[in-house]
Amino acid sequence: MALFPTIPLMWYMIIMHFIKGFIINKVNMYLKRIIIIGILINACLMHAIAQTTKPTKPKKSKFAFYAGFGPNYYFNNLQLGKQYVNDFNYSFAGRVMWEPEHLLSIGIESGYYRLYTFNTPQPTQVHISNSAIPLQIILSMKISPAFYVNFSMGQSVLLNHIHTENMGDLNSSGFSVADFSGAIGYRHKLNNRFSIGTEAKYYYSSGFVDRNVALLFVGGYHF
Amino acid sequence: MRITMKHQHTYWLLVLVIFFSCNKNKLMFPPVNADANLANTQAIDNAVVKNMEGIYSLNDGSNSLGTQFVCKVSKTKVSFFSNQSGILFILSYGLNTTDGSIQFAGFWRYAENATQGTINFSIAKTDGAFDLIANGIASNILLKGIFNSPQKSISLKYERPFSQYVLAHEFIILAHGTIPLKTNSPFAVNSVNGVIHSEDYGSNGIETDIQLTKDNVPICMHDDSFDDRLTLKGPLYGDFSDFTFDILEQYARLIDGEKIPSLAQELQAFVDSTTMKYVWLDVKGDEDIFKYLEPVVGNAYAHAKAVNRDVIIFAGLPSDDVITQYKKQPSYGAQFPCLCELSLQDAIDNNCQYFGPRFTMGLLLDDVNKGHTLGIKTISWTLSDNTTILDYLQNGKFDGFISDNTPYVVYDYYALH
Repeated sequence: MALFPTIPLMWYMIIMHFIKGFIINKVNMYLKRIIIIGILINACLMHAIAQTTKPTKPKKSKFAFYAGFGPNYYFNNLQLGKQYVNDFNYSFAGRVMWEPEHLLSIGIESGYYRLYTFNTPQPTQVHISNSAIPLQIILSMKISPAFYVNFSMGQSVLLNHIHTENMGDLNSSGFSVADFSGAIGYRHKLNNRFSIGTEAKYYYSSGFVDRNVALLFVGGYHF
Repeated sequence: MRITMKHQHTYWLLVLVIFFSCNKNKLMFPPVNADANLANTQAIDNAVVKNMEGIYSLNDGSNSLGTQFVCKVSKTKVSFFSNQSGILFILSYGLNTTDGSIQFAGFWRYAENATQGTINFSIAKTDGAFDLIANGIASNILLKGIFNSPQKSISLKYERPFSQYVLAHEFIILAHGTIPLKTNSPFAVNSVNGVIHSEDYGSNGIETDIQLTKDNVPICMHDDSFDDRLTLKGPLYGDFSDFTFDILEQYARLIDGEKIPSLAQELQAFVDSTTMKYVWLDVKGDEDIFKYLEPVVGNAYAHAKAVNRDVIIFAGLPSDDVITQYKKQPSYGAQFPCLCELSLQDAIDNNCQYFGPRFTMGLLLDDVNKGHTLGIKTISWTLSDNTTILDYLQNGKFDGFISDNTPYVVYDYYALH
């Protein structure tokens, strides 16, 4: 910081040296080199000044990580065994966002959505759970300082787990390639690093036409 | 720019392939026919009705359903295949003991669209019913009928029997996935009901797809994993090979609501409920598949023999991987026929009795002729548009087709030869 007042003075001295040299046409090579080195040093210093001339403004975080958890509701559209479906389950969601100083930000989102569970009664008791792990590109847009909307699209891995009383466990998985989510959320900044909020999130998976809506409680860390 | 254009072409090609490669099985139930004319009629022996088969022409009435028809008789139905737009009639029948007439009731439909309606016929005792019932003579049959609402009259007259060429050269007509997809039948592909009713749509054999379950039960399913083209939405996702047959029976259904059948169930229906002869097993290549197919196919042959049915069940060898599996189970090949899709030479090398080239390979006249000299029949697959069907029937020497549009194949083969 102590260098700051000296820089204009140094510029003055160098420029005067340069002008004087050309005027009297006696500038030798040694002096020219000193001038060039001086200019480069000063350019670096000016750059440093540009980065630190507003010491009172806090550093703006460009990246953020958000994680959310909450209950979800599955839109039960099964054509077979619809009555055995438990519609209320849970979702985890996490995303890493690049948040430049614009309304729009972009990132990658994943998570674990328990879509539904399926329980048949005795005597052939079977418990089936179906879940999705999405991996999607997400776009986020602020609609006010506290509210935002998200849209994401990408793929999901669909997990199918079956537990039977007398036939053991069976696991399978599928892949859904054209899925999307939409969310609207509220965010409250606790400080420069942390935020909390909530969002309502709709998820659609094309593979088996699964849809749910989740109410997530979201925590954010900005870095 | 050139690269961009190339990628554009690739993109559009991919879009087209995705769009047209997989036909969704569109189920269309026939219109409700009150069947009032079949009330109190008596069943007629299938062997007697079989004598009706031949070429019929429009005698009187509306020509909107065509002017010439091929009549074929399945185990339980009489079907007519028109010279117009693949129109077909599928009719139940019975003998009216009061007046000695034969009554028919059913539906007509275009092979390729949703246009359909009810249709009824009657053969009066003096219009050939007596001769057919008593003597098996069809030559003077006159069918008088009505169709649609408001009603239109139609009358068909027996024109001639099938030609000597047709009678001497059995043409194999295999329904793709057990039921011809283009006809929008109310039955799911690879279903037991598809097998039972396939014959009504003109086939004399079926092609069915084979996968293995987790507990090594051969099931009839085209895709290796669940897809809403073929199955109803239920609680199961993923590959069929991840599930036991018992779980699939309980928690999976085809799109017409039927259970996913095992091959054993399909073959039993084929033997017991149809008069068809040929089964092409489209083997998808699971590990040791032929080890698990062998007892199932063996039991089907034994059952067919026990009920005096002549059936031929051949396993398709569509790839080198499947041939590798085939060779791992030499006892299968020693007992049962096979069909090789790769080339005639591969069919010869694997001692196959059938060669099954994709129709895009062309007429393959040299291969077909060479195969005939070696006793190898050639079945082209899968022919569905009438132009290609007609071209391949007129200019080719194939012994059969797999088709999604069997009504066209039936009319073109039986009427034009």
